[in-house]
Amino acid sequence: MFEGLNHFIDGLLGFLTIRTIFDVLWSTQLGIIVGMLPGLTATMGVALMTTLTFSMPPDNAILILICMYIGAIYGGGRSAILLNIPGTPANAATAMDGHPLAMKGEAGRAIGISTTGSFLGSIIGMVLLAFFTPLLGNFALNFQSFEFFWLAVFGIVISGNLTAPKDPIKGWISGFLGLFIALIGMEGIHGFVRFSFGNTNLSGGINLIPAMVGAFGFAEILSMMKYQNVNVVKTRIARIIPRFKDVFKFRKTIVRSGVIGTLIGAIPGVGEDIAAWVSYDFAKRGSKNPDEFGSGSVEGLIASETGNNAAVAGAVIPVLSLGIPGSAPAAVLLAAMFIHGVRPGPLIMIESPEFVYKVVAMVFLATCAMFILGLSMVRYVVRVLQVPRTKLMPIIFTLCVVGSFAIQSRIFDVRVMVFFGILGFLMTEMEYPVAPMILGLILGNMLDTNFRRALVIAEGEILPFISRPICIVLILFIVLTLVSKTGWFQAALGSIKQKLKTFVSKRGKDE
Amino acid sequence: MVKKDFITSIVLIAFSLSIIISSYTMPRLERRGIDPFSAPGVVPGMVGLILLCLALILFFRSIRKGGYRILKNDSDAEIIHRGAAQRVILTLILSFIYAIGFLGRFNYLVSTLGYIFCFICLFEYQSGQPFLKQKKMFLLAMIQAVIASVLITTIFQYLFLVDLP
Repeated sequence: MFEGLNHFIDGLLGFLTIRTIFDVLWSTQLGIIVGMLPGLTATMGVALMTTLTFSMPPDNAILILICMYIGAIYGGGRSAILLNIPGTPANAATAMDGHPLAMKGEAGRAIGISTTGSFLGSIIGMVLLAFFTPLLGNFALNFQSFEFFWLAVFGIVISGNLTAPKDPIKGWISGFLGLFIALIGMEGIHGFVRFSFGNTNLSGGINLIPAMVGAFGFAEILSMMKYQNVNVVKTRIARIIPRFKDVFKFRKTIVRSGVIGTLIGAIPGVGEDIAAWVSYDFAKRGSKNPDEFGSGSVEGLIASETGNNAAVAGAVIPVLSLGIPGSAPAAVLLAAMFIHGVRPGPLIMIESPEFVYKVVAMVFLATCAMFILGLSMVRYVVRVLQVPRTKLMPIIFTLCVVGSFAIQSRIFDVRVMVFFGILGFLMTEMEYPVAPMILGLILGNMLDTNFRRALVIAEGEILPFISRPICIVLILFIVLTLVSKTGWFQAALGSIKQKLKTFVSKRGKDE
Repeated sequence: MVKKDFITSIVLIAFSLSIIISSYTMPRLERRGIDPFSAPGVVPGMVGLILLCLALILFFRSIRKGGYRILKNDSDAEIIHRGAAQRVILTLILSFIYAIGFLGRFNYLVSTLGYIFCFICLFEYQSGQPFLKQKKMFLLAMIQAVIASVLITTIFQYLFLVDLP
């Protein structure tokens, strides 16, 4: 515990140089602008920044990426409040109450509250990140190929379930499609080239960064160009710094949303958008004024913003402890760590525990920068929103091109980006979530090598896959996730709830 | 959405079948004395099978809901609004020409300048108004294209030392 605190303080002090503080400030501000602009998502921002920080020392590069990530998730709330268009999908719940507040002439207050909520959410997430990463990392040391196989399957199933709540089959299809895409190219055990059809570029496999830039960047450009321009709400941005009572009144909501956001963020491939919605839903259920939700409720706004920013730190927990991303931007962060020679995963607490606490210090610095920048220069920064999309989108596309080209200097990667952009757009149009596909792309190699390795170890026996204790728990989770959306399961759950209610009310009357 | 599900499920069934067949016909590397359980086709075959099952569920579900009546005219048949479709197709064509056709063949700065200029002009041009009355729009588009392309090239190439296509 104290060793962790020491590592954190050492990491923090190491970052307190003028150059690093300057890096923190510009990257967080850039993140806020990226998040604000509809069409530029946190994933794309982090992916582009990975390219730019390619030649930097690892600590500085990862710090900049975390600042961009936290800034972008927070910044998306600005356009949700002022345009009623979430800057990133994570801010969709923010628009529900943020925009009605802006329409009432309280845009400044809404921005102030969303900033404070994001700050507190991020701090709660950071504390849980510092607490859970070593625990999960140490626990994951018990994992062998069997467990890693089931963990990959669990990631796909839960991500598909939560990102397509109306129709989980589409989420699972997206995830398994991603798994297949990951299998293209040379496999890791025998060096055999699969599904490349003689193409030398394909034999190297599909690179994650171009695929993500396409699926989240170019696809977003196409989606944005579908619509005509929208206007920024004409409102005076008055007092931005929130009143203490405005925030203190909702302390329970803040803590609840922070914890929920972090936990949801830590689930593989689920991400900030679901975290925000679940936090919002819980806040509505627990509120004294649920009717105000959707028409300018401060509690609703604070819940969604606390939830989505807490999920950022939450998404980093599995990145560090398991080598599995909790969200799409965290997937890029994971790829960037590999590019910079850092190997996150179960061994991190043995090989370099100080890195885990350095990441906690990075989250802390980014959160502070977000809070300071979020409460200042608001009136100037929101002018960016007035740039018409016809002027903005071609520039974003040129950035997508550079971002996908720069890491390996291959035109093939630009083609991959365009392909995934079209695929991502079509998938969105057909109501297939894109996030599970990207998670599948990341987990494909882990699933492939661990499944085959486990089969070889077990000499073809299936029993070890279903008899090891951790495997049994993971299988139970998978089955529960699969059946949770079926009609009969919902009906059974409903009848149990009903029986419990009757039992409780009966006991109450008897007493 | 039911019709879209019906069509995508057929595409997915065909796709997953092709994965299964390719995986089955993939070499098992027996000559190298490799354990058959670690053959390269094992996992792709398994993924293909799961995809096939999911696609079949989608297929039968869409049939049950009447998704096979593709030709029946209803609001669902109109995939996206005509204006929206035009804007998407135009964006696609322009981006395709720039990324696939021009980059790597022509100078990056010139290609980017041309792309940004054409993009702004095409989307901001108002067909109802005479060409000469829109001179200002063309001029502003050119200024923006020059500034953006020069800035992007300079920042990436000289500040961040990134290779450009």
